[in-house]
Amino acid sequence: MAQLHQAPSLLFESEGKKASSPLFSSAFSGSRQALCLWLPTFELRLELVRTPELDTTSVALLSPGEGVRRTLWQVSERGAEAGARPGQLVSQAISLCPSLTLLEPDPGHYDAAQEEMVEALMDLSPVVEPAGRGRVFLGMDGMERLHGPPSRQVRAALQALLRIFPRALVATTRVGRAPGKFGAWVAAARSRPGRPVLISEGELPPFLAACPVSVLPVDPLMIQRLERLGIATLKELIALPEPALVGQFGTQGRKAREWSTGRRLDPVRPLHRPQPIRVSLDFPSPVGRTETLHGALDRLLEKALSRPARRGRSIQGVRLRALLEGGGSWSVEAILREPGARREALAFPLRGKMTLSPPPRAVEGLAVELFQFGPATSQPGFFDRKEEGGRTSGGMELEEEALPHSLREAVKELKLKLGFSPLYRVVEMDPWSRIPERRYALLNFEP
Amino acid sequence: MKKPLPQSLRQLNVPRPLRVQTGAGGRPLSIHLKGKERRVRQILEVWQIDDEWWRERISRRYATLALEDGQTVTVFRDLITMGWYLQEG
Repeated sequence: MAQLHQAPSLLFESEGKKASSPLFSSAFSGSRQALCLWLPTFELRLELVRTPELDTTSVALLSPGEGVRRTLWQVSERGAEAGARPGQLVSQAISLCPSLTLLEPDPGHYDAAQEEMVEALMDLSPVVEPAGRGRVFLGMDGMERLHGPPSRQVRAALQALLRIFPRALVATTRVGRAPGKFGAWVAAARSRPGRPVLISEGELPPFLAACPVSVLPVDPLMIQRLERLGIATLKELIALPEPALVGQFGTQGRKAREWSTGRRLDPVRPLHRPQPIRVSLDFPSPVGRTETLHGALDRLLEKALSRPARRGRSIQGVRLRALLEGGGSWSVEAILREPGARREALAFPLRGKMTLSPPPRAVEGLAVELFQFGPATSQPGFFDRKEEGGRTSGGMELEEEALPHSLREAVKELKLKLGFSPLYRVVEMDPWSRIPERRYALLNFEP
Repeated sequence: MKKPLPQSLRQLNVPRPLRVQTGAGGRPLSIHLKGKERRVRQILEVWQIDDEWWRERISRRYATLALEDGQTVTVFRDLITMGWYLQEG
């Protein structure tokens, strides 16, 4: 049950303002009946699917985003039998299990699999809400007529997964169905592969009452305090008067009580996913120099920000992905506190993360993805020549507004005629390389 | 040279194969440039690059040549394939 604390925030991350009302009401938009599909250690299992010969060995996935002192993130059963544990330092794990195979995480691969999973489940229900990798909630209101009783719904969901994942991976799926996401998640976590836990409306309060307090998606410190006070189960928690819980734990105390009694039912909300803006760049030869990667990041951000689809929107979430030499991928992402549309504001946190956790190998290709958007920006336009931080932030690059109208028209005509922009600009690839053709490249300039 | 580049990014200063007449010790005597045979008047400079032994070894011997018509060009001999190339230094 310890795993229940993996990502409580993710579990309810889609709670917007509408969900601030603690109790279920008929005015909510979403589905009351929730089906939770959970594939524990999803990332490691995807690696085992990719390299089946590792399945019979001790394998561990390294934690992403760490510096020199790497730790284990996920450990195979054989590795765990030998004493390797998630969170353990690599040196400790190797001393316990010398035959342990360590794998670098490949976030691009895992995200692609997660997206595929969500897409596949959308055939089953229009209300699909991902909650972290390997975990998805399906809204099942009104699905009885289409898919039959809950047991058949579960079968249909697993069938949908079998269309995209191998049987060995799908066989590990834990399934729980209950009113509200909390109940469904607890049910899934208490289920076993091939034995889904299906909880009806009337069964929910007694089912929850028997669960330990560690299932609550609240601050782990609150769980610790409850356990220290001798409150081990949700039944014992709800025996406490609400004012006492609120007095001790504030809003979390109230929410914990509402979840425990089954009064708070968080609906499954349909995924609202704005189309991300993606731009990418392949390097002629693998690049390991941080300066070159920073330069490429700047160019990619400029390109992404100048896309017509971005106009009128500020950016809140940006992701940087790299394809690594010899296979695998690496990624970092940044969520901005204040949405913005300035290149530097987006590049700064990504550069910081890149410094803390650089790509483990040379990079063959780099991609920027603007995936979370804010309201229209009121700051000066990125290409506004009159504003500080506009054209000047682009350094010496030619930007759209800097081009004379006649030239822009000419480029348009040439584009129509040739099918591509014949304008290029010189970008630094690896200016200090001893190999002359590695130093500079021409990048399409498309105003 | 190893893999095709995406349309949006083009390497600059990519080496171009060159026909070279060599003399004793592989010394370039003339090169075939723009459809014409050009005699080498002088070898101005010679240097060697050995790099990327960990990936796909690169070993080149570069030379700056002064041609009989006064033009200066940089060429190299790929010491792995033994081919000659023209490239700006």
